[in-house]
Amino acid sequence: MRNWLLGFCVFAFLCSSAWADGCPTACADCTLPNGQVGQFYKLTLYANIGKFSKITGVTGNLPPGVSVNIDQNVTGWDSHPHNLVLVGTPSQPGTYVFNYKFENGIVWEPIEYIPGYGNYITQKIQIDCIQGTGISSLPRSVIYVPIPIDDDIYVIVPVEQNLPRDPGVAGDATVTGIDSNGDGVRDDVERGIVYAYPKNPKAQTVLFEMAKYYQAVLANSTSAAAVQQYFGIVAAWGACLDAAAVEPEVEGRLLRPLVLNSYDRSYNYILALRSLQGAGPIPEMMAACP
Amino acid sequence: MIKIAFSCLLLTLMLVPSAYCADGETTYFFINGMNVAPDEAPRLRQRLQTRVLLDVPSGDVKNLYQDNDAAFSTMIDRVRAQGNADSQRELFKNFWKWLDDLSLAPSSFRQQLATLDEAAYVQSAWLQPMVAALRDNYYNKRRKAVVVAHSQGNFYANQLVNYLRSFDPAVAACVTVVGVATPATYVANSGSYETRSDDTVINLARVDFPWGRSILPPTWSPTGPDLVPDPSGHTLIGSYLGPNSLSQRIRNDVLSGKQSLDATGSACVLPQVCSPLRTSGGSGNYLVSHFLGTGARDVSVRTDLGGLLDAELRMNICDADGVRFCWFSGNGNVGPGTTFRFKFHFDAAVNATAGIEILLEASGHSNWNLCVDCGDGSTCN
Repeated sequence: MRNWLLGFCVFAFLCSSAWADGCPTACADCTLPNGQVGQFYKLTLYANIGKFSKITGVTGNLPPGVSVNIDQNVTGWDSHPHNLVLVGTPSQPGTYVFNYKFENGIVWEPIEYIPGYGNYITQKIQIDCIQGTGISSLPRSVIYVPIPIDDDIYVIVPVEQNLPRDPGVAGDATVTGIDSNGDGVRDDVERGIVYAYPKNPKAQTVLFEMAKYYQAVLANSTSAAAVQQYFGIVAAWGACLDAAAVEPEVEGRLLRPLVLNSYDRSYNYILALRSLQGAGPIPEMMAACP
Repeated sequence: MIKIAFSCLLLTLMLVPSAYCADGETTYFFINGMNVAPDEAPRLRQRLQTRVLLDVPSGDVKNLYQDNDAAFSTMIDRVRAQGNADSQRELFKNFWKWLDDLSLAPSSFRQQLATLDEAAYVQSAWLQPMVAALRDNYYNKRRKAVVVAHSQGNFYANQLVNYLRSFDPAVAACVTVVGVATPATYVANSGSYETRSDDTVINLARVDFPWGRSILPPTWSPTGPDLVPDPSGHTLIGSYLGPNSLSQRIRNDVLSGKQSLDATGSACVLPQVCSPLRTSGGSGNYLVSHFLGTGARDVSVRTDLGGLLDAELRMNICDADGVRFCWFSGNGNVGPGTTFRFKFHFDAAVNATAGIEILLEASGHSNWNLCVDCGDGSTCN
């Protein structure tokens, strides 16, 4: 019962945060792309982060001409979430601010599943804002990330790092993607890692390095020698996960979903696996753990 | 203080192995489950070693790696067809997340995986290197094998043993399997296994897979101290190696499997070491086996024939199927003490055997010596 009550309190706090804070005055990160008057605009905010997560409501002002749908009828593998879809052709420039309510559904899980582990760590609550001229010349938003401080208690902290913008679909046009700050890590991957470990610089460092060499694997997917070499480097950094207080399954739960988030990237990864058939074990190397 | 001392004693007792896995005669192989990258598999193997095989030298624990590239290749085409350009990123993120933890995946996704049977999960391209590794372990290193498999790796472990039983039963007899979180309906060679009752992935497979009702039942249920923060109940490190009582059960399975290979009357017989064959005889028929081991080599033969003028000796050297490498026929007319030398090429892979059989038929007043080397430079001069 104690655990159930704690779970319920966490749930209530998450929801009230999402509703009450509105658009913060200082935003560290931006996610919604700009729109143009007279041009069709469509954006889907996905709720499929947790097993029972969903977006259930919207308050505030939307640009005239843009409506919002709570998409409950998606089919196929993308079936369970209630996503939020902004769609329409904006007719007036301006600054528009809205909030949406994200329910992460934690209390509906059996109590054993509450602890902040794996997928739940990667949950995020977004309060997104559209401001500026057009739909947004200066979009502002902040991302809140639940940080487990005990087995089943989260605190909500904003990500304050200066992250590159999410390149969106443009970032997925090539296997290489976009690395606007030139740190060797794709922008979308960098964001995903920081959101998952916002207060753990060691984890970020290790996962950035692993992501870099995953990317190198994708770029050299038909060369068994290169694939072996780069996977060897990934393994060397993987040996640092324990020291960085990262759960050992992070590669499957976080890193691969982030890095392999397009058809071409997934395809190249599969090619890389195939190139290793009969190639022998990957080399053993050491990394300088942070 | 007494409490602390008692706790330390308990902890020590828990950590001290109850028996020893290391004997210089056994190699431990780990087969990973689905969606494990090449860099992750060694990490899992190391964790298995530190939790279960802590008394085994690191060189004696090896990976038998597999992945699912063929199945993944088909599935990503289906993923691409699911949505428009805007939704691809989320679709592919979910694809890899769901592969990592099938309990999060919608049933339509799991149904795709459930269309494959055990044989379809096992790709020959990954199975054959495993076969080669176990043959090398047996013939060249002269060691037994304990195979520990996690999740889908159990399909590989079963198929691996099935293959060896068909094509190399001597090797198969020296392999035992320990299943962990197995979605299979049996453990090859009557091995043992452990599956959690709250393993959500296996429990879903019981529903989704056509053979789901026959999947081996759970063997262990968590109690309070054994609850681990892993929602899937399926991961090797968190769910199976995490709880002390469960990792100890896995260790016990490994030990009992090893003991069954070592037991008197076990079908496991390790190959002998090849040493030059030296034998001699007189009149009569002789059938002599000579173990050579795996690999290819040029084997030298020396025959010394003595006796009277009516002495005759015929000799055939064949593989196990009766295919003749070479033969010799001589009589005493050449004079006592005559030596014949010749070589033949032996390839264990081609000849499907690790040894040869020599049939000698001597008549009259024969008196002969025979020497066959190992093809490794040992001499019959």
